[in-house]
Amino acid sequence: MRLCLSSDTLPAGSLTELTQAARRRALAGLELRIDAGHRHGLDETLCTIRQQANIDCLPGDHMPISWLLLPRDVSLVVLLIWAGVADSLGAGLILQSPVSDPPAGVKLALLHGDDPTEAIQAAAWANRHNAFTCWEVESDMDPNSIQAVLSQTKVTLAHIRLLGSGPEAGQSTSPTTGMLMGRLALSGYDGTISLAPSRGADPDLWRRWLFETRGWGCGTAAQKQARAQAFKLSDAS
Amino acid sequence: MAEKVLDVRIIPPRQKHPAIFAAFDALEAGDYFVLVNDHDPVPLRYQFNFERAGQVGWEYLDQGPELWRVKISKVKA
Amino acid sequence: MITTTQPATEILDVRPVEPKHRFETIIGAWQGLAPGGVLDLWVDHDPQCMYYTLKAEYGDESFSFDYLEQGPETWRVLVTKHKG
Repeated sequence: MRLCLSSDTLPAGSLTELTQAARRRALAGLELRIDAGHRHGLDETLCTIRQQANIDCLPGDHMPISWLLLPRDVSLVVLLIWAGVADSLGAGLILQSPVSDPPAGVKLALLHGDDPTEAIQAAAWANRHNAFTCWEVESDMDPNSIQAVLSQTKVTLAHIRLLGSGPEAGQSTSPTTGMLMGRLALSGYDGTISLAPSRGADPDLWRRWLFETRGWGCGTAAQKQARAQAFKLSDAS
Repeated sequence: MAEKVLDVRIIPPRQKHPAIFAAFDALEAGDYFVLVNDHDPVPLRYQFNFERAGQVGWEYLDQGPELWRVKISKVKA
Repeated sequence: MITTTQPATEILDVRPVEPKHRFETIIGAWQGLAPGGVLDLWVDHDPQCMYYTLKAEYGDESFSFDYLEQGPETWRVLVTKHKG
């Protein structure tokens, strides 16, 4: 599993700022929402020339872009344009609604929520089109739904959007996140998980967490040595 | 199957150790998962030492400065 | 005349501290305690692992670990450093 940062956490952030924030937290990639309110530089306009100019101007040392999250109900023409962009960036595309004739050659993931029925439909679409699924999880979801959804998408699941993570994680009383992460680990999940805000989250809370608070180190050398002597774990290697 | 990896950085503090122990208890003997954390999980190691004495293999794969990766295995009887 | 004094108590609330820094914060406070001193520890999860850490690194007899509150939101433990 690899952790990513969604541009939902910082819509006004440039790609450079998103990269800085993701690096501070030792994350592996970015998920960028294609939306007029986001300032990462991948323009939502359809002009391919302008789009390519924007891509050419992306800072060279940006964090890998793992996914582009497309708006709802994109036309096939728009989808083809973004497929080209994604291909040039090495990114996948997250679709919010299924398309009947998706382009080949680009990694596609259909978004679904916590409803197992929706997950079944998304997995069926993904299997028909040699594509994947993206599960948008609310961190206060009923944990009893975890297995119901995972059992339907274990083959197709490539990305998870974890809403209410990051600085909001400690506020939830639901055991969902811990249970979900454990199940994903035991299933050998090797996809991505993006940190994203819950609906209505405080953007200042996220900004402080991304740029100001330190850490999500232990002891002096002498203490480390004492610790090594204290351990009596059997060596399984 | 791909390697089992558990990145605990995003798990709320209250759920972290219960999630790790639940994952460990679900392992088959001889199997393992890789724990990923943003600091050395020393208290966790002590907790394994006392609560699962003799059952746990602990091998550091990475020791910072940003990420610690520990191979936590269930010892074969 | 015999006088009795309350043990020096340090209140340590690690709930606002980033998880990455909690262990060193607690251990640092423990190391700074005088013999007979008490750490009044406030955490948002069961600090059982700190009990094991102190037990392993300092020995059973060096401390006592008394829960005043055990969740579901807050755990509060009085950690006393024994004299001698």
